[in-house]
Amino acid sequence: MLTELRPPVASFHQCVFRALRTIVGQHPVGVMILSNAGSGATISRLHRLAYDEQMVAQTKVDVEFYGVPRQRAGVDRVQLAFATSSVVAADVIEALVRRFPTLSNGCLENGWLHASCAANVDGCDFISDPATPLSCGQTLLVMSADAGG
Amino acid sequence: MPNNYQPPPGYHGCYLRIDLSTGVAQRVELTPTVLRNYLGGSGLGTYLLLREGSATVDPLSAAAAIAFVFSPLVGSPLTTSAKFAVVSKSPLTNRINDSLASSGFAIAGKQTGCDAIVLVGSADRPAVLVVDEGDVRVEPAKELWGSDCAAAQQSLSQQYGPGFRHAVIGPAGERRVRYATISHDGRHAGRGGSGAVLGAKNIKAIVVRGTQRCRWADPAGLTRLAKELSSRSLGPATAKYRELGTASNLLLFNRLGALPSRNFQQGQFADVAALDPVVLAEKGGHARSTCAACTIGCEHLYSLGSSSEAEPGVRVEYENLFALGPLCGISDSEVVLQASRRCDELGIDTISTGGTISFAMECVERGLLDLPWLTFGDGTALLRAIDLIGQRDGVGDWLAEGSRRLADRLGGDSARFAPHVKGLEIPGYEPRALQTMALGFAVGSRGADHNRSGAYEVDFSERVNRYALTSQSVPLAIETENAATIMDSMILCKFLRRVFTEFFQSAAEMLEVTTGWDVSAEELVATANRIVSAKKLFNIRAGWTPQEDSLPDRFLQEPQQDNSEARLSPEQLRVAVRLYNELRGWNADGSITSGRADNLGLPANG
Repeated sequence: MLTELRPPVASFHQCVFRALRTIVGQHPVGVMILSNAGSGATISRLHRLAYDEQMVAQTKVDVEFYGVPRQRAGVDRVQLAFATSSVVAADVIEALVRRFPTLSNGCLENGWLHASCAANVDGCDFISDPATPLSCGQTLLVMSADAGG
Repeated sequence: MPNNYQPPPGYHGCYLRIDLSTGVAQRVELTPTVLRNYLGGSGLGTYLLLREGSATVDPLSAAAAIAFVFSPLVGSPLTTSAKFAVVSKSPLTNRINDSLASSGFAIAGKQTGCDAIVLVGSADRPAVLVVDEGDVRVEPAKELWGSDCAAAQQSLSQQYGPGFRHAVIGPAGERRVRYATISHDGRHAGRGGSGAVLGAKNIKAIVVRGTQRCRWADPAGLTRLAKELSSRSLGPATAKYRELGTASNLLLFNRLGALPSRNFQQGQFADVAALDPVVLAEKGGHARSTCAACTIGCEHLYSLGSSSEAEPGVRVEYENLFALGPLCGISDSEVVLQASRRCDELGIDTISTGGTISFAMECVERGLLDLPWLTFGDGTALLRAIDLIGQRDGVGDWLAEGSRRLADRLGGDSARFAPHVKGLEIPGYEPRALQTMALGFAVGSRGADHNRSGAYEVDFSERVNRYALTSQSVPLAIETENAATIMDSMILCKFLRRVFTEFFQSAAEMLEVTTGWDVSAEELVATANRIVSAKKLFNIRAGWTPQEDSLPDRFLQEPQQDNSEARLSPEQLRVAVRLYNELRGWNADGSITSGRADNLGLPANG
């Protein structure tokens, strides 16, 4: 079960998390670190994630937004990192909902895409199965489904 | 027409036939059977064109008919229903053409007391046709002739007052540019050259006014459905159109390698970011507008950096952005906006304009056309070419004929890359990267068209591999064409399509509350098939051959330059077209047996 690495409610941890995000943020639009550690992670664990990201984050998936999802997310793209090698599309969507709560407004619902949205892998295959596996380095495109011009 | 005829609710039960040569206007009865079989809009227009024998005549001759067709939903509270179809034989394709548009013209036109206005003959001098309920007059156009679309409508508003609504042609229609539009309220019945047909009849404008309203079979049910539909039309299914407009396709299509660039030589455009609507809005300002009786509000207007604040913005859709931008290698957003505005002023279809100019640019590049100034990426050249087309001046006279006729004139191997099907320039969906759409283009009755076939919807789904056209795609393509046919005949805006979970069922309910007919979803599928078959029959009578249900060689012989996966073979397309014909109930080559034609309930002649 993947859990987003969230800071505990204590303000000290919040400060640490923000600082680590700054350190890890090697990609212009930000990196989300996900692990099995959960909110109970110790500071040392957080440091390990930050400095030895490759070891923990086994799967990185890029997400690009188009149309309304881009508007809701407020960014063009984001990279998500998972501490497992077996990532499926639903994991990515779940992470997106956490990272961009505004996507719940008409783009994502019930852990998957709203009917008005579609998903595509690497610009090639459109997918509708939440269990579609995604490999490290793949890109998930999340877009408005209607392509009428 | 008999006085005691009681038409079905939602209809007036007649069309107004005006002979411009003689000035005779008569109301001709439309029976309930014809109305139920062909509904309105595109469907009824096709029936009327066949009835008028238009398939076999020159579309720019006096004998040709042009029909402005309303529908049972026009005037109802159903959102997006203020639409009408202009149906004629196309001077660009010599095949059936139906262009749809939304405006108050639809409502006012139907209130003149008819379900369609059919024009035949030709005025002896430039004229304005006035249909003031029962009074039909042909008045001199005077100084209106020569004015651009917006100026003409402004003059008509001043001359006739606010009670009238207008449809006008621009200078391009007057000069019979084969892809001239008919403009009204800033929108256009755009494709296929209906503006040239009107121009050939010496009609600059039609102004309409009326007070006759239809009764509804179930007013309470209609109000209930209208409220539901309006509510759904404000939800996520239409958010893209409302919030961003169709122009938001641009970046996505580019990412998918489906954005036609440099006359379909490539599927991506390096400078596409410069044309992102977000960038356009940041540069010059942005406003939204809406069609008459519509809750979606998909119109997005962008200001030209050079324009004064008083000038309205330029309406930008994906199609004009693609056709006047990447297709011609143009990345200067200011040029694309200027070009779009100029097309609107002249009254020419932006897709055919961009398609023809980009084709000419490639011909110049290949040494087939000696116009060194007309090169990809040159904004000044694009604007100059558009003006020449509108005036039919110099090379503009050739370009005004469209890419197919230009290829015929230039010869060499130019026909291989002239971007059209049946003469209609291909819209912004690269057929090698969207191969269900390739089938939709090939079999389209009016040529390459993204409004009569929505097959791209299939490509944008997991149901097919968009790079591999197979038999699996064919029934899915037919489904989208059937849905589009009913939407174009009832008439509703296609931007509503995703608000319906069962479109044909919902459409049947709408028809039931307006007309009182006990219509089923199955009947509407059969109706769609009848209308598509009627269009085919028109084309057969107009000289159609099986060879024209295909794509130019470029799309069948070469992969996309920048995407080797985007490759479509002639055999793949041939097999799919054959299956399409069989599933339509036609012969495998697309012809229709006489028995089948008889079952369509159509007139036997033209």
